[in-house]
Amino acid sequence: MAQRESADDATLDQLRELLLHSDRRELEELRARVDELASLDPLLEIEKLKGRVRELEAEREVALRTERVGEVLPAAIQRRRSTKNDLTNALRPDVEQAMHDSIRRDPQVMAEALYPVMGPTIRKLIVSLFSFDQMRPGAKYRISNAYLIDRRTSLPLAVHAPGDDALEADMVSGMMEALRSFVQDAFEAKEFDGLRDLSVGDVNLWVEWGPRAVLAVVVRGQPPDTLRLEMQETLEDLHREYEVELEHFAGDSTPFEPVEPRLGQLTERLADLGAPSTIKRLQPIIFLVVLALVVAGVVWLIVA
Amino acid sequence: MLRKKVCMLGGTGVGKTSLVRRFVESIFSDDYLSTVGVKVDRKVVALDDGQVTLLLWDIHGEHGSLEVLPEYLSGSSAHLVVVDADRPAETAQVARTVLERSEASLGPTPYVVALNKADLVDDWAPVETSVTSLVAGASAVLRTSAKTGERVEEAFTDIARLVVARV
Repeated sequence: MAQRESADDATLDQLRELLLHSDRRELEELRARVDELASLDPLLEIEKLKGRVRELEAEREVALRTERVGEVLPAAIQRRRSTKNDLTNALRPDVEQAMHDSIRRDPQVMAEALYPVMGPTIRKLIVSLFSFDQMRPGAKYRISNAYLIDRRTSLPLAVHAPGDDALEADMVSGMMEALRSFVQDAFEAKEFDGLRDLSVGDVNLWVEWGPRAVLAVVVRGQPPDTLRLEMQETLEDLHREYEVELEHFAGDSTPFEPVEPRLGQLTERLADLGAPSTIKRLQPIIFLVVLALVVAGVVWLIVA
Repeated sequence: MLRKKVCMLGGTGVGKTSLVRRFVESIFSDDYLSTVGVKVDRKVVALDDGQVTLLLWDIHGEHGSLEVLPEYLSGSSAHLVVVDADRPAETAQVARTVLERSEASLGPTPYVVALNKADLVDDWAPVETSVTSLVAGASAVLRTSAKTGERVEEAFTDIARLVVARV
């Protein structure tokens, strides 16, 4: 009997556990919450809430001020600029640093932004460097200027150029070399990898490199590849003949005076290469004459 | 004909371009300074024993970590280092940084210091460390003003004497 009773108790416990499980958990949670609340200091809680209110007020104040400054900022900058020019100086370091960081992070972004500015400037520079005479009639290209430039100093050793171009050759040589360094740096080209020519429209700057000097010619039109060969040979000859003078060059171009007529000869020789020969130019006429003779012959035969 | 390459060095806004603009022959527009970073101008200086043509490489002002291409300094016989008299410590420091880099890649190059915008500052005695050390290494120091023209010709003549003496 007692055994039966205890068995009933156990069953009842199980039943209670099943039925009241969720209520009991809720009760435990409530008890914990009551304990927590009982342990709280009301004054401290009030202080905490006040603190939070202050934080929220400060946030709101910042948002409000930001909005107000934002409303007048463009006008304020314009006004400041019209009375004092200290804004540019104040902003310059940050702007420059930002540009620098941007270039470091992704050069492509800045390159794309600068492309519309750089392209026209470089084109303008190349075109402004050289003036051109009229091209020889029938010629495919024309060489106007030839420069032999010292690589280390970018100073001209010898120049063949018409009129004012010759007088300004020293500035042009410098700018040409600066532009070359710039393009090389901008496109991370290795010295002998490229930059043997810069082209803008039909103006070409062809450059041949030697260990100490650079030979640059300015060509309008489309020169044949033989021009390269002529340039290389000339440059090699000059390096051989002026070895000592090139090594000791310190700005005095007097020893290189005999080079100038040779640059002239080079351009003349190349100009002759470029002009179509007389026979070539007469070819269509010869063809027509021969054709006329053949036709006349055939007609004569038929008639006869 | 004797030609020498001279680089104008100094920070942004110290007046390098103004010094060049009034006193030398130019055929190129100032636009190239901001795009290519360099502009080459010419100054013919007459000395007692003949004349020398200075090819002045006006190089964009260095600021922060924007660096001057070392190729631009190559072959320079002397530098004309320009410092702003109105903010000497800062601009002398920039000039020293460029000079140090130039020396590291090309060896020592003599230089003349132009303390420019002298018209803005009545009296000047170098006290800032960056200025005194820059001045200590200089072949000559001049107070110049591109605005009034004060001692600008003299600065170019000093440079000319310096480069001719080195032949």
